[in-house]
Amino acid sequence: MKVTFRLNTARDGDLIKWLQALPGDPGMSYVIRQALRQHIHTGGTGFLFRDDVGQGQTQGQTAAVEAVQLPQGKASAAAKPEPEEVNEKKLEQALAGWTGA
Amino acid sequence: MFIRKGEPGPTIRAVDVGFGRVKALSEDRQLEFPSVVSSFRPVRYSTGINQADPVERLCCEYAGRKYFIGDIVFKQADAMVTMNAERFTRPEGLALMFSALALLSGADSETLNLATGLPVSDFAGKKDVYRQALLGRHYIKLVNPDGSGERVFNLHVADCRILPQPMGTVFDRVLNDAGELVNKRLAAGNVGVLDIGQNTVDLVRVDGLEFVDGQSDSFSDLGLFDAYGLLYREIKDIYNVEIPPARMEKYLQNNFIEVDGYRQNIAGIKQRVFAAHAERIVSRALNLWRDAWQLNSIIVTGGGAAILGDYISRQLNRPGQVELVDRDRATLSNANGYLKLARRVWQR
Repeated sequence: MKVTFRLNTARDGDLIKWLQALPGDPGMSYVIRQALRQHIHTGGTGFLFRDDVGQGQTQGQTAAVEAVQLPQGKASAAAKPEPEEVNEKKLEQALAGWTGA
Repeated sequence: MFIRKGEPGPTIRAVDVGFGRVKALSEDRQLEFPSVVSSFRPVRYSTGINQADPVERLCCEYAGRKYFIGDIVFKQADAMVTMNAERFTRPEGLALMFSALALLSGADSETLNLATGLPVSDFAGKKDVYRQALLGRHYIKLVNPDGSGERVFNLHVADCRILPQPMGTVFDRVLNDAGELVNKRLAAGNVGVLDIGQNTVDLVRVDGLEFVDGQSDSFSDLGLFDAYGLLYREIKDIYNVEIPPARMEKYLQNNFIEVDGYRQNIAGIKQRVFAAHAERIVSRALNLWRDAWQLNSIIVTGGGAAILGDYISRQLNRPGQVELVDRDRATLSNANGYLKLARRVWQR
């Protein structure tokens, strides 16, 4: 099963709600949602590919997503920073907040 | 205090005074006992059983009053006081803390640095008062259940760090044993901790190790014993037998009870009740973390995680996010985190 769609967060609002509202198989929505979440968390650059999408838990179907494009501006805004890239100095400062008296 | 390389650091202790159990760690010892206290009266006759284990027969005198502490309360006391938020700074709460510290102490007189925690809902309001109550010199006397054999401990708490309790689990996972930051990915992430205690559930949200107060809370009606209370009622309704929540655990391990000489399987009731309780916990968590999808990890920990963790994982249905702390680590994960943080603060 192939799914191709284009996200427009300005139009559709919250990504997750938009995905949950997709017509059809809820397991499908779950699979895409997981892939998107992973994609966003790892600071993806705007495209999702077939291999980015894994096995769905709820329905057991594999969703082949063929290049889901995130809108450029929104993609960068939505992308959470990859934790490993977060400023170590900032982390040390946060730790110092706990270790200080 | 500045420690030169090669010099031994100060003595450190980590104590997690939960509403259900006290968990205490030193560099080479660990102990835990129930967070219950009662007034002491000498036990006139003892069979000698359990005399080898001081934790099982813990009695103390603190601030002029004598107490039974922990397991012995269930056997010898008529009435008991359980731990609650108000008691951390009161003599009975401090008696729990300093009994644990006395048992860990290698000498009658000891200066130590202490890392400990408070429930999330009390952290902001009580941490300064609690810190003041802990700092300084404390005298505690451990006595035998018959009132004999007093041993006085002079414990000086020179320094102290207090954390919201579930932060201990976060530090347990991001620091190594030397207190160095090793799991930077988790540390930098947006993390939720679901800490299931015997009497409470604490939820903490942390973003880049910053405590998010508005999305952190404690709930006193969702702990493991509340699930046991529901089981108690179900079992009483069906079999007309009463199993107090405090004695429920061994029946749950075996999955059966014996009624009038007949074995009755309670696995089905257990699964139904635990699934319903897990649903209540998850519902409360998702209500607090409305944008839970943004969390990099949801860590499920605490003594209750060993029993309810699998049910909660299923209810959360977020396999990419949920991390269930290993059964054998879950009870001590907060205390372990306190100890790692203590090493970072005082021994680096």
